[in-house]
Amino acid sequence: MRAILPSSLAVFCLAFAGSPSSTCAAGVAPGPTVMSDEEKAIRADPAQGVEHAVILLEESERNDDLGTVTETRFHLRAKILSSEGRDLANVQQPFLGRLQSWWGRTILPDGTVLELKEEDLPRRPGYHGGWAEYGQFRAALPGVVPGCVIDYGYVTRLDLAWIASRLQRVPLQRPWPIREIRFRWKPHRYLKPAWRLARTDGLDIAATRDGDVLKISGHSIPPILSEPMMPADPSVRAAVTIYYPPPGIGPKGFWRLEAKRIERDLREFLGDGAAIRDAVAELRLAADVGPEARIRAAYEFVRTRVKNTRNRSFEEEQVSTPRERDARDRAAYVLAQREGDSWQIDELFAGLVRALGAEAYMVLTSDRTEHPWDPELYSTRQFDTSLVAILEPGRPDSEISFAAPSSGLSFGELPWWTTGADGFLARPESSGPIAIPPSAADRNVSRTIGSLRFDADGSSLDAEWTLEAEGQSGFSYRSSLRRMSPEDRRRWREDACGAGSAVEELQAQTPGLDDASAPFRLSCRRRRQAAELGPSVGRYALSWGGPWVQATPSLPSGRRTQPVVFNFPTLDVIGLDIDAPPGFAAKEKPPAIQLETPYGRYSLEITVTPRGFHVERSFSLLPLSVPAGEYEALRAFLSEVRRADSAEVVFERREDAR
Amino acid sequence: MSSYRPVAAALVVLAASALPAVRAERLPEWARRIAETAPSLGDEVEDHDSRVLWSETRLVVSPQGTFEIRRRLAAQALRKGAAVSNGWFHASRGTKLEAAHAWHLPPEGGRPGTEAWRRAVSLDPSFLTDQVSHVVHLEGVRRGSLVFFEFEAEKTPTTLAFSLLFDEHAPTDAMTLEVAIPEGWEARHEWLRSPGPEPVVDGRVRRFAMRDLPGPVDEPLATPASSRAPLLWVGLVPPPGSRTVAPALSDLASFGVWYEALSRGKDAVTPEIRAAAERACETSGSDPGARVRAMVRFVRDRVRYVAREIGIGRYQPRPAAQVLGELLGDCKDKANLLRAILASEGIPSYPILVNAVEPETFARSVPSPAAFDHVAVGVRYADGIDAEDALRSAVFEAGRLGPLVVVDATNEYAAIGEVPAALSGKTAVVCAGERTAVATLPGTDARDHRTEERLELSLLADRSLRGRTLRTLHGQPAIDARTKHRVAERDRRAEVEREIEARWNGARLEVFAAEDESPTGAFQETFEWTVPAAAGNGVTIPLFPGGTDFVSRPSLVHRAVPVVYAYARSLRMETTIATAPPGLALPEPRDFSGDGWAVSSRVTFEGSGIRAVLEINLSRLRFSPDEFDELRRLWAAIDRAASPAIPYPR
Repeated sequence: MRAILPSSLAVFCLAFAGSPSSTCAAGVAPGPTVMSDEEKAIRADPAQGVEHAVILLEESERNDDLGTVTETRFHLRAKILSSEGRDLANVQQPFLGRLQSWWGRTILPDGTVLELKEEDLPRRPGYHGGWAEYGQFRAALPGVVPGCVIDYGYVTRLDLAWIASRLQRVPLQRPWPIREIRFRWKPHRYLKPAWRLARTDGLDIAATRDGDVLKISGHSIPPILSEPMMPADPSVRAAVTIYYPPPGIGPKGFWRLEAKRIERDLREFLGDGAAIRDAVAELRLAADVGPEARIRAAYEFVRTRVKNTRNRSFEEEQVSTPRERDARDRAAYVLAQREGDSWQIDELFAGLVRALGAEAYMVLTSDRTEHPWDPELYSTRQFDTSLVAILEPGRPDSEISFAAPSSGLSFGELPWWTTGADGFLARPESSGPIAIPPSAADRNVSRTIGSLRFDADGSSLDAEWTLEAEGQSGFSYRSSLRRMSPEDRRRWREDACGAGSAVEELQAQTPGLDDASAPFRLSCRRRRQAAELGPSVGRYALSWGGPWVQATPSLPSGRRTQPVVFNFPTLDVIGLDIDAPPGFAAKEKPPAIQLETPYGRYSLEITVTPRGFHVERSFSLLPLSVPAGEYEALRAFLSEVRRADSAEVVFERREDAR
Repeated sequence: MSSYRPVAAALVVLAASALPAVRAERLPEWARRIAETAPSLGDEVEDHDSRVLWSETRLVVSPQGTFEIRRRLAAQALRKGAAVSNGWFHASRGTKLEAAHAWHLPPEGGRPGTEAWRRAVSLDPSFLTDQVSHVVHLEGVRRGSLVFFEFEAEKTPTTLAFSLLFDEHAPTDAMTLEVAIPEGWEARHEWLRSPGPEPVVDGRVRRFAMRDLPGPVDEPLATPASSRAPLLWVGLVPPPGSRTVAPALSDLASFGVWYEALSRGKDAVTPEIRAAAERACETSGSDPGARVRAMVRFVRDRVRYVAREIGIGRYQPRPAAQVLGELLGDCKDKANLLRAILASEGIPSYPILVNAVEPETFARSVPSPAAFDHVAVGVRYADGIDAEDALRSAVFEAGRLGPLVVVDATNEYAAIGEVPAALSGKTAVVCAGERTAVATLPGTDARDHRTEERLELSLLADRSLRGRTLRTLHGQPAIDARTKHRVAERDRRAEVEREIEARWNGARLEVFAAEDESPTGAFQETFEWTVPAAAGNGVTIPLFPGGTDFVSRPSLVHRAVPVVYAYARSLRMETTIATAPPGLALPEPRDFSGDGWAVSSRVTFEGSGIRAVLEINLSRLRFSPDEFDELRRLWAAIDRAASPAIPYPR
């Protein structure tokens, strides 16, 4: 995705134009050298998330109004509660800069104060990075023991042009509880600042303006703890993002102007339309073909006839020649070359859709596993990929559909990480957020068909199975495997086919990996030693599970604060034939199991066959996200699934084999 | 987008103006010769990212003992994205980079490009360090590109020794070390890990050359390729009476004396240290063993570990009194403070130098402190202090110094008496002046890293199952569990919960309690769970759930490097079931053994119930590819011994 480049040069020039102001009126200064009674009383309470340390005060200040530099002042005061918490006393400058001043001290439980002086700070080697020599200091506060208070701070300076071209995200929540947090930002006088305070619902965090200085303060901020399958960090952690939007664009009109810019770029890309008309002619559409079929044909044309240079396999990448985009890269050029990058392919498809009489617009999306798009943050740096929104003539907006021709997915399927979140619809006349729906579970199906057979003397057990995955399931496998090196791919295949353990023989293949029009396939054959079934064994129970069953998510018990987020809804179907060992026969079938919940469905049916048993198992996970309040119910369902999967089949020695 | 392009262009111009001048130079003669004979690439994907065509290190020793070092490297990128765009020169203490050059010859030929930028960065993971790596970057490197780097540096060594690892992290056609010594000097050498060639001697120059070195093949449960590569040490000996910038250490005794001098006075027992020892032992009474444990715990738990590699401080501990005052230090600082505290009670101890990361780094004929990266302490238990049972795993023989107990006060998660896997079986040097000894550290017995699990199962009338496990861990398994538990108790609980769920489908963990360090130094955890009755319950109850997972099993299908387990280990799992199902036929006893391993299981009636015991002992760590059948036999034996199950009551 193309990102707006920073206005660094403007910053650079403006910085020289203005006279430096004094440091913004601030109170970032060392804390008291004694431990207060309140501080003394703080104790660890792991059940409340107070385990290793408590931040008593974190205050920071960024002053950009000092001419060509920006100055950061930082102060942290914390109570250390465990040996692990002592690492808070290992101070590392967060990014490169020039250290101006430092203080650091440890206040021991008995009141003794140990100072770490600035001259005792060892410097890491710096480097010359453009305009200035950068360095990064590190400091280890002395004497730190559980029960002490540490208090340190520093002032660093950095070139304004460097930092002003970036979004700075200042976290307001930490893995430790915070008693008080303060942040101030004095922007440069000639630059228009913007800031975005996010994820502060339910927290005692407030933002105020004092002249041109932004002030944020918070109290009693609970820790944010890592939980499995939680949303992306920016979706859950309170933070303020400060930045300078591109000059000349006000917040109100930002997204509207962006939409116009994207549309302008699209029109430039499509050119006079001749190349697009030629491409439409190449579709050879009959006159009676309906609108949807025409769009599908255009989609297939782009998906299969124009190679995406960003979606090459490892092998293709090795022999490709890198080439920067340039002015020639219009639709005509891409069509002539039969290759383009993701953005160009999506633009090309949009042009074809328009030529076929429907509306088509670019949609910018983010990877929700990394960060959701925040419309209140006026920056296109948030986006990772693009889609195309399609609307047939005369239809209402509620019938807008989406396509991702550059993904290689079938028509109507979208890369899962863009779904379940809002994208930016770049329609000049009415731009804004638009919900990208996730695909249904029955579009993301994994089907496994296999057999378990003993050899003639029962000493080996041969397993043979094939996994076919469609929709997002297949897309996930295929896209990650294609990018792997041959040796990593081989390891993956072997692991997926259960290569560990006492496997005697193994064949693991992924035929047709590059054929995006077919389901992803994994074929496995393995032979391993079977259980000893000597003459004294009259009854043999066998678990039907193995590497052919995809792992059911496991979530820990206990308090949950964040929703559980899945990648995409899924449906796994397994059909497995299990032959009886020599001299044995299937005894009786286990009872069938059916589970149905809002979170998914499960069914297991094992039947007796002339050769042994046949297992049919179906498991779907339906939601994309489950609220924290329903965590235990979700866990219970997953636990039931695991238990159902533990069913065993039982064989008994045949009378004629006794 | 387009409206910002002029800004971007201006920025590029500004940035470029700050870079060193990019010169269009001809390739130097040495590089040109290599370029002329470099192989071209076909269309097939190569097995490695790059190959080294030529690697040459030249060491010129001055009469004062300083080193002039020149390093040349020629490599070819075999894959796109190969990490050969950067040339590196890692400058250890006392090294000054004099010159750095780089050239890039694109696959299509043409004029060679030269460096785009150079920087000095710190790659040393130590929190506080003055180690510097110099990097020279080449632009536009792609598949088939040839790159050439040349560095020149001057070094004032700590001792008159030099080492070179014959490993460039890529298949290497030719690699050489050339050592030029002054008139009257001698050079001796020692190869470690695998035999290497004798040098070709030409006057005062010795040339060690190896060809066709293989590229790295890294697999799980394997010694890293760089740890298998040949390591050459060269020791330099000036004529008697020479005045040199660094000492020549010719044998173990001279090394011990040098180290003793380096540490002299640093372990002085001050009143503060004496007082700290008293405070540490306040609740330990007069039992000498308990007092030692208390002193070790004091240093281990109170002194925060902060890695520190600055100047001679890389080898020299800071004064014990300073470390005590600051309560922070690295391994040598903590070891030194512990020794001072022990000394205040009259207990002798010695620093133990060892390499905790790399195997086989110490050359006896070329002793050098650079061979080590860690310091532990050897405590002499004598005259009234018995080496208690809990310490047996940590006792080793240190030559003339007699039996010592190894204590690693740096590892905050290792109990006293536990030898971390990183140290077990390692060759170490116990420093005691002229009595300095080479020793093999303990912790190599399977029982030193043992897991004991007692599982009590109750079958309830409604077909539900209730279980209670008491697990006791020693050695590395205890260190691993203790680390997780201390860092986040809930994470350890979640780990146990996952394990229970995997062993007993549908199980619910109801009770979890852990003791980090029992009086005997073990990590103990107790957990209770239930498996509710439901149609999905299996028809059998495994007697040794999880027993088959005790030994990791990497794929052997295409494996060409040995499987190496990090430490010896043992498991004793005892399962009791209060009431045996009626008419139960007990599984047969199982006994299997092989070279370095033994596996057995027994199931017996005990009263009205059942008692089942599984024992696995693995004292062997390494299985070469030609021994994989033996490894498969071990895995199959575990599968069979751990397989007994009883029918679920109807």
